[in-house]
Amino acid sequence: MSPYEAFLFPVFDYLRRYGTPLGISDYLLAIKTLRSDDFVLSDDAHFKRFCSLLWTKSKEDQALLDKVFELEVEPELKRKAAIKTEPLPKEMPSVHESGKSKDKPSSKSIQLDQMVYKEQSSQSQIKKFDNRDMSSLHDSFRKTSFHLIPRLPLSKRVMTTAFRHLRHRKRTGPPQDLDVEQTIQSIGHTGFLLKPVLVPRRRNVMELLLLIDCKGSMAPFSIVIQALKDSIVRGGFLVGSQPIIFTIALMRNLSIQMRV
Amino acid sequence: MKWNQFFNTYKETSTMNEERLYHGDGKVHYQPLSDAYLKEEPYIADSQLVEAVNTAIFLRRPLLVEGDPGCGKTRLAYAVAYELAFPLKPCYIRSTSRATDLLYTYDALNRLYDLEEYRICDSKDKPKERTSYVHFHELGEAIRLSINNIPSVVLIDEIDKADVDFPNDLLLLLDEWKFKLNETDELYDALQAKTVDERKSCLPLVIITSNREKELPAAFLRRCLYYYIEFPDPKTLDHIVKRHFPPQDKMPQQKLPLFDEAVKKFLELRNKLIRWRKVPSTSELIDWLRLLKRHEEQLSPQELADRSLHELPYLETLVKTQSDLNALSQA
Repeated sequence: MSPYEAFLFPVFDYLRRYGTPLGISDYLLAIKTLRSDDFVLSDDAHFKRFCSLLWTKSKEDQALLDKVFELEVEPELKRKAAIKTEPLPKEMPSVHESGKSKDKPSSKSIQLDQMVYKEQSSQSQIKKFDNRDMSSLHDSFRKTSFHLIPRLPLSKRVMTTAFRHLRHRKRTGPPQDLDVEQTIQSIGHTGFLLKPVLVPRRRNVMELLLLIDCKGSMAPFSIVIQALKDSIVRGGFLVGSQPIIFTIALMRNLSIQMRV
Repeated sequence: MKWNQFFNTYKETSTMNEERLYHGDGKVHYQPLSDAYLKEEPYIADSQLVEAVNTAIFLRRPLLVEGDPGCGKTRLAYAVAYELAFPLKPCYIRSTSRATDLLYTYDALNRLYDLEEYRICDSKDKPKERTSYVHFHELGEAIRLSINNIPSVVLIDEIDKADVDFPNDLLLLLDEWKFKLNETDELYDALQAKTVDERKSCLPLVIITSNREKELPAAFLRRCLYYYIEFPDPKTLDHIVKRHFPPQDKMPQQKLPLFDEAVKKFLELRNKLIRWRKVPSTSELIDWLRLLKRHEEQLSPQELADRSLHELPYLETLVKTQSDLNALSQA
């Protein structure tokens, strides 16, 4: 088991809680890759880059990953590294030597016993850490996590997904797709091919109207309003550059859809 | 390089199908496969990007690359194909692109005309087979190559230009690596009833670029590895410049001082404005250096150093909008 495996769940859970689109299969893929003999993580930074590559899907997600590493993972990794690299005393005798002086315990052998005990306890700490229950790690993480990244009540990604439902597809524009059925019917009627029947492509002709009060007392919500506008523009469901006019009624409908 | 350890381990374990790894130095390291992309690509990638590409190769998951325009998202696919000596299948996405367009098109209209001609003219030659009207496109070609155990690099460029349904339509294809020709009832299956792990050395490596003009669906994002290409650090930038403008044999030292000064000026320019409408990127720098090189006799390094930012020669190659130009002259 890779020593990094214990950190996967808190990181995964944190990203999921803040809206990163991740599923069980993504978690399992990370475990499978870490356990693979062909994949070697060179250092802690590589582990972070691996999580970023696999689980983040935007720069915003990467900021979340940075935060969870800064708060939870990096302190634990440093602590673990400190336990591993704790310096040993220079005049530490060998185990063979200590066996010789077993009958007559000297101050040196006492020192050795203390050292061996210390080393054993360090190893047990490492073992304890490695086999740590993931839920307890997760609990400690929840207790200690505290960050000030401004987060929206709904992420832009969720808003965009909600707007995707606004679809009304209609054939519009120049005829470019072959209408096979109509063409066959035409041949059936005339007995030979006069000309193929072409139809325009289906396009979304949905028009969106929203009215947003963004001045005065609503000014504190400017970040949310901007995110809403961005999610409409980046939703990509509006055809061409049709104007967006805002109405209150549709806004309510949309908020219902988002909750659903 | 940090990837060395993985590289060595992986090299030892590879058996029949040699697993090729990306080095990011713009050099070919392997025996070219048939139809490999062989046009030299002077692309220098930093160690993190190399790591990301190699993880995508190892997992055979699509690599979604984002970054400022001109940072080298598209060229990355060319560079990977060149270094791995794989065939390259570039798919340039348009607003009207559909997922099936990447696989094949069936020229039903031509077949209809041919059949009509055969019927009316009472031709002795039999009409062509149905399969003759099938035109395979890039992703379809890549899957067909995989069936013959030849991996390739597939570039899906600017996926955010396409309709919102486009990425969703690609999902099943990138999971199952198979498609059916409805018109001829032929099935092309790159996995050949095996798992992705068993066949991954033969599957296409998909590199997708996006400018984030549209948000991609969550289900699609989940299946991709994500990498954001940052502007290179000065050391990598120096390597990039050297790779694009190798010193000439006759006068190896002459161009370097001008280029050194030009890179300094470029970095100063990038940091001058906080809010760029279009921040100059690596591609703009290369274009600018190309122009400076062409007219190098007219400009000494000292003259370039003495010029203020808004008086730089060929500034139009670096600053692309009037508002940025105005902001620069006022800064």
